[in-house]
Order: sequence, then C-alpha cells, then structure tokens
Amino acid sequence: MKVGIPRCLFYHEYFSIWETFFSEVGVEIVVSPDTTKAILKRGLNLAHTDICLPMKIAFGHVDYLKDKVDVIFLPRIVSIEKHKYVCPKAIGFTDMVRAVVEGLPPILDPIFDTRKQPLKHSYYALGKKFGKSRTQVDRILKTGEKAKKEDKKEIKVSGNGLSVAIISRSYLINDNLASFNLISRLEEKGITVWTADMVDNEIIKIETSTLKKSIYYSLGERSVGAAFHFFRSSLVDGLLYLLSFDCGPDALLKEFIDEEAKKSSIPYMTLIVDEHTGIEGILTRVEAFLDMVIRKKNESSFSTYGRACPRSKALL
Amino acid sequence: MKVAFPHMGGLALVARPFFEELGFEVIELPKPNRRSIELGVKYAPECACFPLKVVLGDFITACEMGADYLVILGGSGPCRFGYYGATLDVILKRLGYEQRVLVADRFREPWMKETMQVLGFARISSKIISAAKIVYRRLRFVEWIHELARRTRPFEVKEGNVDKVLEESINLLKNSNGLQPNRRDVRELFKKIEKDPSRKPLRIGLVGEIYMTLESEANYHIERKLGNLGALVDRRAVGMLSFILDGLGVAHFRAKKAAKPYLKYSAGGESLNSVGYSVLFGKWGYDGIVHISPFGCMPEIVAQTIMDKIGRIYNIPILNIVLDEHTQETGLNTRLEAFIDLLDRRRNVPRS
Repeated sequence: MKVGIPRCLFYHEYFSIWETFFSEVGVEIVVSPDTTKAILKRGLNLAHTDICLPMKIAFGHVDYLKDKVDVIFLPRIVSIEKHKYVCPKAIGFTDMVRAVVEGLPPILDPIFDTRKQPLKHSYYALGKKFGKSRTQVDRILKTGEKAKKEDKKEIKVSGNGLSVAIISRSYLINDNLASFNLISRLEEKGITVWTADMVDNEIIKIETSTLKKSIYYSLGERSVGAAFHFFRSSLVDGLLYLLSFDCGPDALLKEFIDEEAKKSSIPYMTLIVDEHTGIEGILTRVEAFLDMVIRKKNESSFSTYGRACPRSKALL
Repeated sequence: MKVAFPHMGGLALVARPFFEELGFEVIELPKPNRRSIELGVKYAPECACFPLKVVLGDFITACEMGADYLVILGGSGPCRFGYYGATLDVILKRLGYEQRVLVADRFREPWMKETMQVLGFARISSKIISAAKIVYRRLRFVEWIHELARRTRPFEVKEGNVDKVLEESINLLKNSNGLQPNRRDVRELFKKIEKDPSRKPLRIGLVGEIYMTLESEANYHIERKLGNLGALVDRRAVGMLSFILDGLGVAHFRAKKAAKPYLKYSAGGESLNSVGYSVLFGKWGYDGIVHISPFGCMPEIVAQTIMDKIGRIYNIPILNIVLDEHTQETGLNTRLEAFIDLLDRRRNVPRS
C-alpha cells in the first residue's frame, strides 16, 4: 500500500514523526515534491480565491498526489496544544479537499484534538489501523521525536557576524515557492538566519505571558513569542516578518509585533506574499532591508558622529 | 461610570437595559455610519475582518463621546473574534485614548480579573438573574418583530410600510419600562399594513457570519432589499438568541446533524450552521440561499468551499456575498436583482 503525504501545512511541522511512523508500520510513503509552479496552478484552480497562499499550495499537493497513491494521509488537526487551536482553515482542510478535489483515493484522517484526547492517543488509534499495539506506537513515536530533534535545522553561524531572524509560520517559510527560498538566499550571503522554530517553547510561553490575553493559535503564539524574544534580547541584527496575504490570525497578531518593534531599536520589516508576488520585488526589499541592517550595525559599533559608514560590498 | 458597547443588529436594545440594570450609565452610540466605518478602516489592520473595522469605528466614536469603559465579548474559539478585545486595546492605546477595553471572557484569561474588578463581582452576582431575564425577554421580542417584518415584506402593497411599522415597534420597545411592550399592540400595527396575499414569494434562506448578517448598516440592509424584491427570507440560521444558546450547546441540533457528512468538525464561527442550514434549505426545497460573510472570514471560507458542493448536490442556487469596506451598494443591488430574476425564472421552468 502506498500512503501519500502532501508536502504542505503541518507536514513541515511533523514530517519526521509522520515519516518515521509510516516507515515503521511498513507501508510505502510517497511525499509530494517541493512546490512547483505547476502544483501551485493546480491549487489555484481548486481553492477558494480568498484563501491564503499556503492553503492554495496545499490543495495543489493533494491534487498532485491523488492518482499516484492508494491512500492520502490528511490528518484533521484541530488543536495541538491544550487550550489552543490551529487556524480554522486548517481545521476544515480535509473537508474542503473532499468537497472540491475530484477522483480522490480513500483518505486517512486521524483527528488530532488535544481538547478531547492527548496527541499520543491519536497516534494509538492510527497505529491500531495498521495492527500496532500501544507499546509499539510508543516506541515509534520515540524514534520519531528523536528524528525530529535531529532534523531541526542547525544554526549555521557564518563568518561576517550578521544575523537576521525570520518570523513566520513553519508551513510558509519552509515552502520553497511561497517563501522564495528566503532562508537559503540569506545564508548564501553569509548571514546567520534564525527562525521562530528555533526558539524554545518555554521561552515563547514566558515572552507571551506579558500579553493580557493568551494567544489561542499555537503557531501564532510561536510567531509572537519568538518575535518578542528577538526584539527583547539583542540576539539578532534585524527581524523579517514573513506572512501570507489574508492570513487570518497573523493579521491581528501583527499588531502586537508592530507594537513591540516600536520599543526596540532592531530593524524590522514585514513581507506579505501571495501568489501574485514577484520575486524581484521581494529581493529588492530584502536587499534594502539588509543595507539598513548593516548600516545600523556599523553605526552602533563605530562612533555615532562624524564618520562615514563603510558599507561592506562583499556582503551584497 | 459610563460604558459603551459595539452595535450588532438590535444588540443596543438589549444591552442597554442590561447594563442599566447592573447600575451603569450607558452611552448611546449612533449606528455605524460612514464616518465611523472610515475611522475604523483607517486604523484597523488591513487584513483584519470587516466587523473588527466597524467595531473599532464604534469604539473610537464612543471614546469621543466620553465613555470610560468599552465592553466586548471574548472567547477562545478558532475564530478571530476572541482576539478582538486585545487588538482593539492595542490600537486604541496607540491612538492615545485612555479608555479601557473590558472583555467578558473565560475565567482563566488574565484580563478577566480586571473585568470583574471594574464591573464588581457583588453587583453582578446580585443583579445577574434579573438582568439575564431582561436580556432573554427583550431578545425574544427583537427577534420576533424582525421575523414578523420578514414575513410581511414580500406581501406589502406599498414599499416601505413594513419598515415604518418596524421602526414604530422598536420605539415601543425603547420606551417600555418593563421587560417588553405588549405584543398585541405590535401585532395590530403589522395587521394594519395593506397586503396582497395572492403573491407567491420566493423562499430564500439566509446564512452566514453573524455580525455581517445581523448588522444592517454593514450589510446594506440586505434583508430589507431581498424582502422588497419579493422574497420570503428565512434567517433561522443566524440570530442573537440562538447564538447565545448555541454557546451553551442547546441550539441548531438539526443543522449540526445535517452538516455532519460534509463538515465533520466545526471550523469555528458559524461554519457548521452555514453548512448545515444549506443542506436543510436544500432538502426543504427552498428557491435559493444567500450566504453573507466579511472578506477573509476564515470559518466562512471553509463553509463556502463546501457549500458549492451542497448547491450542486441539492440543485439549489447559492449567492455568496463577500462584504468589506470597498463594497459598493449599487453592485450589491445588481447582484441581488439578478439572483432573484434567476430564481424566478428557474421556478417557472419545470425541473427535469
């Protein structure tokens, strides 16, 4: 049996666990390739026009996989932390796929809802379908967690000492098409890149505890907490906030990050992407941003008065 | 201590006596108008949903009128509404208003402590039953007169009579000191309207996001427009009373059951109701469905995607209306007229 996993949404969060799980239970996994223009086009034809870019891409991946596999793995992710949700569109994704994609193979849709049961129990139920006992599932999950830790991107500390944080949702920044490979583009320039995933969960909880209302979106909380952390500690020289147009939670949470940015002296820029965004425009803006970061850095390390800032040409 | 709360349909008729019963002075805000909406649009985040912008406009107006506390509901469902209070607080502070946003939320939220302090726990607990009674009785009355208006509109001979009577009965409610005015008076008023019972109106089900469906200033009086075009509008899917009851888990049972095959899990907001009632309206042989949502509403996008399929299965036309500050009334009128024409023609052609 071939199980297809679309490379979209929460795959970017849980791929190591899911891939370990299915290879341990002994089924063949087919993961859709990196997003291409053709996949995006398929998604655009299917998805509602007002939906955000990662969702449109997700529809494309499902459509790409549908005639190549026997079963599609589309978990219904409702809540991955206690008292927290994911975005409503992600909750309804499985149902939307059923409504618009024609010629679907059977769908494997375990429910991940921590309001009703811990995540582990969802895996138990899934394991039962493949004839695995709880202890076996436990062992698989342990291997998966280990793989997840290993897969977590190692921070590449570069020579020129410039570091930039990119705050974004994991399914946006890790998608090669939607994020325009922003991470590797920056790393090519010798910049150390931090992402929101690298910030510890406990730090995020502490940083967001200053808010009057706890944020009930898991990924949104991570974005805000990580942004607060980078603004408050002087870990980075600049902060980029990448969000997709019409991302519901981020539209409101951006206000809090903007407020925090005003209190900090770290350069900050938001990039809003959708399917019409051209790469040239993004690159120009990123270059201008890096110019600003470099100038700021030089200003603070040299005298603030009477000296021209040497702009290092080698950087850009 | 002066409090203010945002408009949402007939909420002011209910919330005002509620807060007065609890012993607060209430500021009567003007209905959302061009100026307040423009203010809201100017200062709200660009991609925020339209209700937030209208509510922000209301709150800025309230601050100008001298309110001390701005009251709004909270929540922690997957819909963005639960975060309105916090966002509004940040924006108002940025604009330099000292007023505090009070949020009635779940008790584990950090800001509930402040809310309870301001409102006064003793005061609330002593008056809450009588205040809740006012809310219940008045809400029922408001929903009832609107239901009467919806049922009478397609039959009225002279356009605008129903709206006059509706306004009169709302004034009756405003001026009544008791829980509600005498229902018989209102019924008499509606009886006096000249009607043409020989008409056969189209039956249209109205579903959608609650704020946009109920707040007539934000949806360009869509209910009235449909009624005047000769449609009998069924708005049982959306209502303030059923919204409260739904929060307690005792409403819309049938719709939830009907939605199960298409949407297994609520995607927050009114998504489950929108899908469920579309199925029901399809089953009941209604002529059409009008679906209203603000631009970028996450639960309604899910509902809309699924409703397209329901429309095909039950062979029922669905008009999706997505509203925001850029919507032009003329464009909306044209779409509604075209939709009604389509339904009318469709009804006269026997279904094969």
